[in-house]
Amino acid sequence: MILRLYCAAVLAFLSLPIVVAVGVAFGSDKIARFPPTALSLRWFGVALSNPTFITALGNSVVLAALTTLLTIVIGLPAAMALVRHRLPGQPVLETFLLSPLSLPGVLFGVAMLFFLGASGFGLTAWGILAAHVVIAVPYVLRTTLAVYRGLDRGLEETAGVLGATPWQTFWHVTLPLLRPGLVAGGLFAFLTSFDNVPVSIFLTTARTTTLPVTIMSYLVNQDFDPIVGAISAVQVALVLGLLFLLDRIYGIGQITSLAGQ
Amino acid sequence: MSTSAGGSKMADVELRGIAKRYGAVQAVAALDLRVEPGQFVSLLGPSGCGKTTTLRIIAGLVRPDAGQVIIGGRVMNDVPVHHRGLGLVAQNYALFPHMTVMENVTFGLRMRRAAPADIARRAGEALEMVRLTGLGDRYPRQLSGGQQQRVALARCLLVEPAVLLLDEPLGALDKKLREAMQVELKSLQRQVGITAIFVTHDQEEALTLSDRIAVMHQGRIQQVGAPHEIYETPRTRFVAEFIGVCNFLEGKVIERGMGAVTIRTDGGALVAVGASGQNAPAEGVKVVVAVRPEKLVVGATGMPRGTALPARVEAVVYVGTAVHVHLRASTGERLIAYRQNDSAAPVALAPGAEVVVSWSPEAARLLPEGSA
Amino acid sequence: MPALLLTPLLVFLLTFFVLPFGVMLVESLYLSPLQSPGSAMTFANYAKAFGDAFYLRVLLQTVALGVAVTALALVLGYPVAYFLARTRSRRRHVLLFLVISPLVVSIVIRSYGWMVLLGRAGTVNTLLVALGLAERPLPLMYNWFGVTVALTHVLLPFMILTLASVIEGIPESLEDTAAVLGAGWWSRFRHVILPLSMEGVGAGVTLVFMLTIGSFVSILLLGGSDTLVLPLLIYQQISLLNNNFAAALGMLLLVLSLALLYAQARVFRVRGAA
Repeated sequence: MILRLYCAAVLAFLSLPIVVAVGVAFGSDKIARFPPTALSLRWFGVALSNPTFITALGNSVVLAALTTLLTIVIGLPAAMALVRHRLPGQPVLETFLLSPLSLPGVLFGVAMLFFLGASGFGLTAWGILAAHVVIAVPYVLRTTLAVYRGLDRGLEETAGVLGATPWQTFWHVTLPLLRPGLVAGGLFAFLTSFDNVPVSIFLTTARTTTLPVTIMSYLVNQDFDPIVGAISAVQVALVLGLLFLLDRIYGIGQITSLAGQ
Repeated sequence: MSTSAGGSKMADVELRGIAKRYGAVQAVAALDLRVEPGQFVSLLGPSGCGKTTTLRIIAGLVRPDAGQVIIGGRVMNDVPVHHRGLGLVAQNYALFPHMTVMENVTFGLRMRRAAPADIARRAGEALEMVRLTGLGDRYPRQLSGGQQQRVALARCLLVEPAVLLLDEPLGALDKKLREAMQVELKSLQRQVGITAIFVTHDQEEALTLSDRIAVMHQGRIQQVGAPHEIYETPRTRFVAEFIGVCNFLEGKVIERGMGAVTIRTDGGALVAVGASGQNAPAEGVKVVVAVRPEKLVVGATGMPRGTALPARVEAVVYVGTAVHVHLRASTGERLIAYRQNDSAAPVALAPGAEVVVSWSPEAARLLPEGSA
Repeated sequence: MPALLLTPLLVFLLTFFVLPFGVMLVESLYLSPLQSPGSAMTFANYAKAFGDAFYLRVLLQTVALGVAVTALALVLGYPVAYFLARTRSRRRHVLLFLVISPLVVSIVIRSYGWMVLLGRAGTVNTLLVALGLAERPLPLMYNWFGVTVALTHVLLPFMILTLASVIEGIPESLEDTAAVLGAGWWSRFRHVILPLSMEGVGAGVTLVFMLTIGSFVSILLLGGSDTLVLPLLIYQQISLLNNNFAAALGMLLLVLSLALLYAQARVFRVRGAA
């Protein structure tokens, strides 16, 4: 039917730039060209031996990992509190807690820039971490809220009646059942931090640069060449691999509904 | 179960003046109840009567606004849920979906850090007791409703609770399975010798299972007694109406005699009610006469003593074991009579027939008017 | 007890989310940096933003871009959303994966892909020239066209997912009944699907519009000197060290975003979303 063809076309459109970015990496040309005139893996070598990129990559990974950890540590208890207790003004509170998701990154980046300057903290890696946690925590909050809301309250109650202390109940009953939410939220938190540009671009310095910001300045200044393609290919492979894994374990439908879109 | 005698474990439960309000609704009001050790007591009532709230208060899941919960002689008000040593089976069983049957069943013991060998042995015995041996490695979703319910029971029993609390646990089962489980549940309770408090809205279930029934309505207990007591001698109109079927005749006391009280119904009929053991109300007081359908005799003439009312048959319903006869008395009241099908002869009554409905004075009860 | 669990997050957000915007607000009301206040509070920055035709035009362009991209995303995405909502499980899985994948890939990578595609010597132009559809390579990048294409690409999945979620809630039996009563696919769409999906349309439109006016990376990479929108302007002003003016512009964008957020939260209650 026409609808099917149309959808295929739109999906192709959606995948197009990603396929192109990855494809470029396998080219041998000096400038990014798709389709490449000849195949070669040399750009991967160039990318991996570029110290700027490697440092930036390392920074990004560490930053993203720390962000994910922190978001879970402060987001999980918050989600539990929101579900268990009917707090006054809850809808407003929830909207507020989730608002970093909707506000433009540029805004927050600029605001953080002013804040770090005015407060004397300065542009440090900790400042970037704090900013990343702010924009990433709503993801963990949202997915955890969704999963926890769907849990039968009776399970925790029964555990209590059977003699489990509140901590035991949390560890043996609540946490295992919340895992899908935490994993999905954690993944989005990781990606949000790892890929972030609008906030990071205002807060990074030459010492504390992240991978996407490095790529950005590369693209803006030096015109594009396939080295970016190589980095992109690796990143895309990793990310899609993770997504695929998540899908296998939890099912992508669940992740979407958890993501609330 | 090694400690199945449980004599040392079973406790009595006492509720004194329990009250709980939710916003504008008084869910439970001034509730007093005593459950003896080893007794099976049902909290029976329609939805919203406060029975589940009461159960949850006993469990410690809800804090009462007033009153005391005393279990085994110990005041439990400030004791947190996980220290009360009770067992709870909910309507949806609340089996941990991420744990196997064995892990579910041994949960309580594992939380108490019992010795693994001990746990394994007792778990095996518990599973055997509920006839689920061999299903230890299954997950709850792989079990049928009846099996899940038994896992929930075994899980409770393994922690040797002082009291077993059950919140409409058989509600999700179909009729045949429910009746089978009722028998199993009762025999298990007897065998283990545990005190049980059972919440249900199904009066047949309560009558079948309980040693004593507490009938609840709008947050209060209207009557507590053995099933026989509740059925034969209800104390309020609500109780009479909620349990089984009952005929009601409203009227006024016109004479208090030696062995009987005479009432003139609103329809004008004269009814005699035996005054045995009842505090006969004074003359002029408004009352309700309650008679169970199986106590009514339908025939051409009335019984020698007692009340006899002329009536017309409106409908005859055949239900196999009995015949339900719907009548309208000449004085206007509607009555239902049950006649046992104890002979193979076809029913001789037909709609439109003019008959006499009668009952003996002892068969009728006097209830306070209104009885909310 | 609830306070204890909620406190870390609340304190953290208050310190690192609310406070920074407070600082931005203050910055916008001065003419010199906060660290060295030289003058008194003033609305001069705002006057400049609204008074200068150049800046007003930027504001207008931002909104116009928002409208264009939202409209495109809605029209292009609706059929896909419908298809997604109505497909059976096997294919649906794959479909969902394909719709979500672009979202997890970094926006820089996606923009890079578009740069390779739309450049003067890019794939599209090479193809057009080779097929004889154009004499010379067309300027597809560094202008509004490139920006619109890239943004539509980025935001399409958001629109599709929001719409699909709502359409799923419309019982298929309604369409079947309409069909039996003689309605063709257009009538069914117009009279059954569309009206019942309006809540989703509203939510999707608000979401995409909000995301568009806040977009930064794609426009920076694929836009040119004349494709100036508010986020980009702010970035520019910061680079020029006009912090106070940038702060005022930021406040403008903030107010606009908050208004849209309010609309989204209050007017449209989308199933599942907080």
